[in-house]
Amino acid sequence: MPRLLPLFVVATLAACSDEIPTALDEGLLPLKPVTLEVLIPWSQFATGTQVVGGFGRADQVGMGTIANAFGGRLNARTLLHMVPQTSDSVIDNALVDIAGDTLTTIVGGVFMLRFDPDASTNQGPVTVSVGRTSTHWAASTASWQFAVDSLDLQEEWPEVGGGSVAPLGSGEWNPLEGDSLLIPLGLAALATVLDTTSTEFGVRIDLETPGELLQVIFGEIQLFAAIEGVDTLVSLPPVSVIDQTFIYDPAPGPPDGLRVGGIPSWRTVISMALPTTVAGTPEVCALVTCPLVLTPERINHASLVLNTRPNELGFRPTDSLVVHARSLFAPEVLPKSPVGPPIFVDELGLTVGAALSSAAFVPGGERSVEVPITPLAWDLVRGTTAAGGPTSPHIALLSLNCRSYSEFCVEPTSIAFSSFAGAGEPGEPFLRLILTVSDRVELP
Amino acid sequence: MSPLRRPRLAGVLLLVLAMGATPMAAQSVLATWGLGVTVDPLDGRGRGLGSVGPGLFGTGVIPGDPGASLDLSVPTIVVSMQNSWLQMDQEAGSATVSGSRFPSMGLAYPVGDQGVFTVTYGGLLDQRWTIVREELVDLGAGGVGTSVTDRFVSDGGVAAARVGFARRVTPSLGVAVSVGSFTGNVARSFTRAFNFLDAGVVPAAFRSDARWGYSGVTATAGLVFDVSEIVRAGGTITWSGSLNANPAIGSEGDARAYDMPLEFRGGISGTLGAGISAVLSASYADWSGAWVSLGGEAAAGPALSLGAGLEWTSLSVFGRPFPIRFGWRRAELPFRLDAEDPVESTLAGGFGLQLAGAGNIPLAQIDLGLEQGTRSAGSVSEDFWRSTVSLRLAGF
Repeated sequence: MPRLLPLFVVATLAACSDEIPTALDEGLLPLKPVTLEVLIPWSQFATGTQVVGGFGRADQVGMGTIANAFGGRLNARTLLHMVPQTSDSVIDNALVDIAGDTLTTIVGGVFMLRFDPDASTNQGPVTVSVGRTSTHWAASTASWQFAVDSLDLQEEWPEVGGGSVAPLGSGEWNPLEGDSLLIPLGLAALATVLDTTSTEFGVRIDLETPGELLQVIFGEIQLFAAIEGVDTLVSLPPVSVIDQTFIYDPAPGPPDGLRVGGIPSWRTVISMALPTTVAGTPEVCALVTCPLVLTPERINHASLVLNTRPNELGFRPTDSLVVHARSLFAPEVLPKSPVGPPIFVDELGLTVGAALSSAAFVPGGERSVEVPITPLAWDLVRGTTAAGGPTSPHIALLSLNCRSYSEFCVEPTSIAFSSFAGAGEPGEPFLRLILTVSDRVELP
Repeated sequence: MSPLRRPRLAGVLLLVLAMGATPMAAQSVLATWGLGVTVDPLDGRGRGLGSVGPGLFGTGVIPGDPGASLDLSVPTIVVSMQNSWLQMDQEAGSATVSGSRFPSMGLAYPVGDQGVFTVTYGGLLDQRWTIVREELVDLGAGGVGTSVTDRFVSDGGVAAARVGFARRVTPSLGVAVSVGSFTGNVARSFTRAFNFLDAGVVPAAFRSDARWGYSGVTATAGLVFDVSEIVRAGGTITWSGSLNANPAIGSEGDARAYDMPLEFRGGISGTLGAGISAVLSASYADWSGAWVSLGGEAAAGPALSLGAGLEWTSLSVFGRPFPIRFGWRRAELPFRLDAEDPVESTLAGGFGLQLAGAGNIPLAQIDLGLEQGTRSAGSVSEDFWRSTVSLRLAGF
C-alpha cells in the first residue's frame, strides 16, 4: 500500500493547474510607481562627434542604380559583368542534350531587367538602354572617372561615365505595367552579345529619360535557338550576371551636420557620458531622493533623438532608410575602428533601428527620429556590460541592409544618405530617457 | 512489517515535505491584504465535517492538534492535498482560477505504551496573489498617454513544522503538546510593462522584487476528554512567538516581525445514535497584535470560526467501512479588506473509504472532503469549491 503514496502525489499534482488569484482593484497595489520622460540636451551627454566616410562599395549593395540628371545633377549608370557568350559554347553546353548533334542556330534574344518600383522615382514610362562596354573595368573599383582604380592599377574610362558602348537595345519601362522590362535583341545586338573578340562581357545600363532615378534589382539575357528539324524556338539557359556595380556623378559634398549612409557610406560617431543624476518631478521626489540617480533598473528606454534635415539635390532618398546604432570599440583608429553587435535587438533577435521616410529629407519635411540605445545606457550607467565586461561610450550610427531574420547585414545600402542636424544647430540631437521610479517592494 | 520499507517511506515523506514547502494554492484574492489567508491544516475528514478544531472521534495526524493522534497504536502517515476552484467577482471584473496545495502532512509513531510521537508540517498563511492594474502614463508624446500594465505578485506563504507527543494520563483524559518552527518564504515582485504600440518605442519593463524567509517558534498544548464512548471533547491552545520575516541574501527588503495571536480551538463530538455522531467546534484568535506590532492601521482583528457536522459510520462498501459526512463552517478571516470583516461560509460533505484494516485499526484509508462556499468583503466576493483528499497509511 505505501507504494500508492507517490502515485497519489503525482496524480494529484498532474491533475491540477496552478494559478494565482488576481485582484483587479487598483487601490490594492502596495506601490506608487511613477514613469516619467527625461530629455537630456546634447551638451549634457555628448562628449564628441565625428562624421567618417568611405565604408563599403557600390558592388556590395547587390542592386544597381541608374539616374539621368536626377535632382538636376545626379547621373548614375549600372555596370554588369555577364558570362561571355559564343554560339558554339552556348550550343555545346546547353543544347547537346536537347538536340544532339543536329544543327542549331541562335536566332534571337531579350535583355530582361527588373526594377524596384518603390525605390524608383518615375511615375510614368521612362526609356532605358543597354549596351556592351568596350573597356575592361573592375566592379570593385569602378567609378565615374576610373574603369579600374586599385592600388597597383588605375585606368580611366576613355570617356567618363563608363566609356563607349556597343548598343544592345533600349526599351520603355512603365511602373504601372509591372516591374520588368524586356528589351528585344536584334541581329546586330545578338552579334554583339556573341562577339568573341573580347573575353570580358560587360554591360552598361543607362537611363535616357532625364530627371529620374531607377533602382535596378535584376538583369539577365535570354537567348532563343532554332534547331534543325524542330518547328519551335528553344529557350537557352539565361545568361547570368557575374558581378555588378554602379557609377555616379557628381560625388556629394562634405557632410554638413550629421550624415549616415550613402555609397561609400558615412558613419556618425558619437561619444557619450551619461549624467549620474537627473532632475525629478515633484511626484518622483515624493517617492525617492532627488536629484534622481540614474540606475539601470530605472531606465526603461533610452534613445538618441535626431532631427532630419534636407539632403543636397540628387542624394535625397527615394525609399525609406534605416539608421542603426552599434558600439564602437576603438574610435582612436577611425575609420578602421571595428563596430560591435547591434546595440538594440528585439525579442526575435532582429536589429531595431530607426526607420526614416524619404519625405523627411526634403525641405519642409524635417522630423524627429529615435535611435534606441537602451542597453548602451544601462551599460554606461552601470559602468560595465551586464556580463561585467568593459563598455564603450562610443557609438556609430550607420545604415545597414539587414536580411530578414538574420544577423547578416550589408553596408552600404543606397546612394542616398540621411542628414541630421548636428551639435549647436537648430534641432541638435538629444537623449530621451523613459524612467520608472517606485518605492521599494516591502512586506506589510 | 518489512524493515526494508521504512527507509522507502521515509524517502517518500521527505519528497512530500520538500514539495509541500512550496505552497501551490488558489486560495483567495483576499490574501492581498495583511499577512494572507489563514489556512486550517485539516484533513479530508475534518473538512467534510465542517470542523475547525479538535474533539473528533477516532484518530488522526493533524498539525496543530497533537491530541488527534492520542490513541494511535500503529505507525501512521497522513498526507492531505487540496484543490480549489475559485470564481472571483470584483468591481473591475470577474475571474476564475484553480490550484492545488498540500495543507498538511504528518507522521505518527507510537512509543510502546508511553504515547504517540508525531512530526507534522502544515500551512498557516497563504500569501499567493497577484494584483493587475492597467494605467495610462504620460511619456511626453502627447495624446492620451501610453498604456502600461502593472503587476504585483506575491508568491509564498507561512507554514509550520512541528514535533509533538500525546499520552493518555487516565482512561478518559489525554494530554498532548507540540513545539515547532515557522517556516516558508515569500517572494514579492512588481513589474510595469509598456504597450509598445502606444509608446512608439520598445521600453523595457520596470521590475522591483524582494524575498523573505519566515521563522519563529510555536507551541501547542491540548487536552482530550472522553466520556465513555459517547462524548469526546478536545481543546488546544497555541502560543506563538513573533513571526519573523527576514530578507533573503541579496534582497533589499526590510526585516519584519509580527506578533502572532494566542489561538484557542475546541470541539466536542457526541454519539446521537447507532453509527451517527455530531460534531461542534470553534476557534478564536485575535490577530490585532500582528498589526499593532508594526504600528500600522487596525487592519486585523479577532477571527472566530464555528463548525458543525454529522458523521454516519454504519455504511459499508464491499465490506469496508464507508463513513459519510456533512458539515457547515463559518470563519472570519483576520485581515480586513475595505474596512469590512471578510467572512468565509461553507457547506461541506465527504466520505471515507477504508482500503485495508485490522480490527478497528485502519491501515489504509482515503478521506474526501468537498466544500462549497463563499467569501465576501467590501467590493470583493468569491464563490469556491474546495476538495481535500487525505491518504492515511498505517502499520508499515
